[in-house]
Amino acid sequence: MAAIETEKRIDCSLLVKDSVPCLVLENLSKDFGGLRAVDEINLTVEPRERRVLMGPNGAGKTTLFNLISGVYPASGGRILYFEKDVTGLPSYRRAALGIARTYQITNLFQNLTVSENILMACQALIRTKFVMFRRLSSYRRLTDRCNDLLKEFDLWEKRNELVKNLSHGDQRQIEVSLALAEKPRLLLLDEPAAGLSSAETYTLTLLLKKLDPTITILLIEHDMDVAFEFAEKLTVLHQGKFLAEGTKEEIKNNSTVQEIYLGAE
Amino acid sequence: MDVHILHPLAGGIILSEFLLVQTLNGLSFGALLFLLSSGLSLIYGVMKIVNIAHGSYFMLGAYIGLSVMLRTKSFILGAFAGGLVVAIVGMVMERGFLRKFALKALPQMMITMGFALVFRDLALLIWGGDPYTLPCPETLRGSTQIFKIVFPVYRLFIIFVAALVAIALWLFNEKTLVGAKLRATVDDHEMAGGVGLNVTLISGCMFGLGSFLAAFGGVMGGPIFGVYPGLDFELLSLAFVVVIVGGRGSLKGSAVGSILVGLIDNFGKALVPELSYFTLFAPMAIVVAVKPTGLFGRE
Amino acid sequence: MKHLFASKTKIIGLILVFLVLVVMPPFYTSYWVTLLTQTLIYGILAMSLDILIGYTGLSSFGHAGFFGSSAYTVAILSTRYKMGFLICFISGIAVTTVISMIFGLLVAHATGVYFLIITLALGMVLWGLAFRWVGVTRGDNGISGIPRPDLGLPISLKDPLTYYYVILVFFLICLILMAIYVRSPFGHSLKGVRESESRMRILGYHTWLHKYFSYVSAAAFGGVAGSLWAYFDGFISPYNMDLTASIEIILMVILGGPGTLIGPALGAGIIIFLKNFISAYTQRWLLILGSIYILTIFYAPQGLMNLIKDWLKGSEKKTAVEELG
Repeated sequence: MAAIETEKRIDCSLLVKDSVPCLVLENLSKDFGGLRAVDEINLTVEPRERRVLMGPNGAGKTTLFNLISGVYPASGGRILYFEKDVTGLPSYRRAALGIARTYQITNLFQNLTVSENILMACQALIRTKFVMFRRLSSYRRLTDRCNDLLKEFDLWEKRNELVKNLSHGDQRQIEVSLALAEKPRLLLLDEPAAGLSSAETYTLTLLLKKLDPTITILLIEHDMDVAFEFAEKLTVLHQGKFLAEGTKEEIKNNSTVQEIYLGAE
Repeated sequence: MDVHILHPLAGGIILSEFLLVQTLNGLSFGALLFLLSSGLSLIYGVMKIVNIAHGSYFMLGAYIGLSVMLRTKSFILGAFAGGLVVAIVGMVMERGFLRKFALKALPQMMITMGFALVFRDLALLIWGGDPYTLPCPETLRGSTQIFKIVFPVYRLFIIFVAALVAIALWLFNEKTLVGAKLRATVDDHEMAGGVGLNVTLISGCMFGLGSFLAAFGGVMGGPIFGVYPGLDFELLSLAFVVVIVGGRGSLKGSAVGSILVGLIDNFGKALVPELSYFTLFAPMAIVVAVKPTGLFGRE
Repeated sequence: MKHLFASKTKIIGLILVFLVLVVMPPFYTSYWVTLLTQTLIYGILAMSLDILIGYTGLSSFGHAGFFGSSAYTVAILSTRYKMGFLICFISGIAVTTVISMIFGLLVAHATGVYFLIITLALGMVLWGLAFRWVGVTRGDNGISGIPRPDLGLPISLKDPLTYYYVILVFFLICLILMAIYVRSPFGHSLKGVRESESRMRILGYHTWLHKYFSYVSAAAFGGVAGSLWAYFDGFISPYNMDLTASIEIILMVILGGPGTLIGPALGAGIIIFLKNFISAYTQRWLLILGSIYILTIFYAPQGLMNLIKDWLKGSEKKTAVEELG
């Protein structure tokens, strides 16, 4: 695995330190025309933290992920990643700094095989991706890394299948594996258990527990059981605004939160 | 104050007169472009597809108008016949072929492309390859005096008609119930369907209206620009430049874009005829560099 | 064992192609040789467009413009300035590449429908130059009298058969270069852009750059075809580069099967042969072409090559099942 680290990365995530917060959102806002989807959110996530983002539908959670990963430009406020202001950076620059995400609605390369999907992620941050006159299959380090990931995520058997022919559960696995392929420092997981059966959700929860402890993880999860299983600390959003933050116990006992969830359901 | 200039092609002319004539020429061309591109915009707005056969509608309208005029000696009849026949053709195309690929933009556009070729060949078959000029209606022949220049009445008429159509479309869009339904459909097909709007009916009608406008424009333009095979793609490209400059799915964009493109194309033809199509490249490049979605683009 | 059936078919196919294209030509009449030469040149052009349509997922409606710009450069340099083959050939490709580098700046941020619109408009801008800049391009009349290049070979290139083999070499070189290109890491990234540009950006790809390079590389290869055509036909006119021409190339790609390289070359062959045969009996080529378009979208939208691939895979599975049973 160290082999990939020494290959020339386009940007180095040398900023990663344990002494500063991994992610700081300062008065972050997003407007869509007349609609304020995210309203002055302040959030601090420490390195290695496992934070869950909760809230009923429409609370602005995915929009927040889109802001952090650079899909939407912010309408106001700042995003600090290990103290570096990334608010104006495009998505691909943030990926190079070590920010990765998964999608709630599966966003994979449907007409490519599982291997090809993973390879796409493996080569994304190294200069090799610009090589035009040598076959991809000749890059042993890349194909080895891909094979390791395939085995790690239990996808080896299906590696030559087209993604569009796979089950929903397998596709959710690939979602996570793509995000982890590039050894991120901050991982944004958007409802990874969406549409999974209870058996599949269990497998996923095991997978999440086995994740590299040095990665900071922000998880959006609707399923309260998965959320409480995973999180040390939870942040609750409501209608784009910050509502509450605290440990499992504090949130469980927070009457406003209960009201929102019971009322919303 | 009159400025005399020596133009390499026109000899000695007076600047103000030159400007006025060319501006009016450009506006009359822009008027036709508006009729063409507003239809394209309507269709794009509702169905999210670009109708490659749209220029063909313009051409077919002119051809059909010509045939009807030669037989009935009536310009108005020719104009509306051209518009209506092509509207029907458009709606058949939409209903019979495009609807099968609803929401799949690329196959739909490929189909319109196939139809464009079919229409071109049918026109060749029926009317032959020679260019025709449509007869100008009696009452609108000749020229009139505007300030210090003499200018054809018919061209002024075209500008007038296009302005009327623009106002009518704007009223329809903003002020009527049908217009509101249309806007709802444009914004969100699923929601519109959910609220009970007949999305397929609206799409069909809009396609018909768009086709009508294009064909009507073709007949209107016939007396000045004529009709010939090849007109379809030449004008389609210009309509596309209008969309790029003015913005997609926007009536205001169609209007402003048409005027701009009409003026630039015309001044280009007058000043640098050898590079005249190429002069359109500049505004395209500028708009794309500064505001990629077009001047009044919404996406 | 499963793969043997498919491999046998592939080997038979390759042998057939080798026979038809390499061994048999001396026995064909010059009519067939000329037709095959046309097919190979348009094969290069169709493959170059496949890079954009099939691999990057961008529908370019102005590709004939690059074909024409290169052909016109060769025509002007060889007839008016009497320049030799190497200068003309390289200049043709260079001019096309420079144009695409400028156009690419306008086009690379676009996608889907918008990409279609702007490439169409740009393609027609180039046509407009060819059509109206009469001083340089002779306008509607086109430029004729482009001589066959004198490469100093013992046999003159004026002989159709000799020129055919030269073109065959160019075709093979282009095929090999493009095949390596689409299998390279960069080529792989283009497929990613086609499947999900948003995912690519999140993964860390500067997709604008990739689309830009894809556009320029497609134009460059298209320029190769254009240069070869000028020498082949001895004549170039605006009709070689108008919207109808661009549409014909798109159909070659779609009919043959986008994203397969060989498919579009095959599609080129089919269209060229059809065009020639049908034009001998009727004037209605455009009508038939348009109808083929519509039928293809309805019944074989993935193209012939993909149909063949699926059929081969299906046979593979059948053989495997038979072996088990």
